[in-house]
Amino acid sequence: MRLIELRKKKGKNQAEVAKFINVSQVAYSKYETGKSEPSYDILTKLADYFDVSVDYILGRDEMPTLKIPKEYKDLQVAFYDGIKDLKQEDIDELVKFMEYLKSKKK
Amino acid sequence: MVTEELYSLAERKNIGINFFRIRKKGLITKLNGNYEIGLSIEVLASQIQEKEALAEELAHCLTGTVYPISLVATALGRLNIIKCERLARQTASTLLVPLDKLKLLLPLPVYEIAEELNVSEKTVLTAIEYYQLKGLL
Repeated sequence: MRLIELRKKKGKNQAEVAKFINVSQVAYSKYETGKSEPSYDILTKLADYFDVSVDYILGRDEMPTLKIPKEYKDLQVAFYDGIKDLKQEDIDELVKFMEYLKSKKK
Repeated sequence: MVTEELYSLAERKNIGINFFRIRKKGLITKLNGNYEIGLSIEVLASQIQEKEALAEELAHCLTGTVYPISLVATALGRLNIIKCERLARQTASTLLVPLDKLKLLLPLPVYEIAEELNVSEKTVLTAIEYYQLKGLL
């Protein structure tokens, strides 16, 4: 599971995550160390909290969930070197690029 | 092709080229039916990198291998994207390493061919592999 990585990335401590999913810090710590497994309900809460898919938390999905603004869901794109290391930052830059292009065409 | 020829090709095809602050070396998108390429003003560290990024983005236009951004969210979508990327990379390598020139240079080692054509060794190898796959070498 990728809980430690996700928590650190979000800059939170175990107590804060535990509070959000309504379990004790000891219980949450066990999820991180693999000593116990969270239920599906808790996994879903964690996925919401970290803004990734359940599969990503479980390590089955290599790509974190990316937030794509609704208006750009169908936008046709391609990135140099593909999407292997695509990050939210790239999506945000793409949105800025689109806004730049639109302003240029006005 | 030399870099200037790539820029001319873009102009002929009515493809916009924009230098922009992005982490990726390049990207391509469509606005009002027209292709627009973004090249990074931050990470393109050499003329070869600029040339290769431009060639790859142009290749996406020429082969129509762009995809809805939402495809990145699914495993099947990502598989299709990988296919798009491969085709664009191969096409870009043929722009940068034309078959006739490659045939003349082939007795040379890869690094010398790369130097001669002002591209990376990786691009030369991609082109050789592609031409061999097509039975042209």
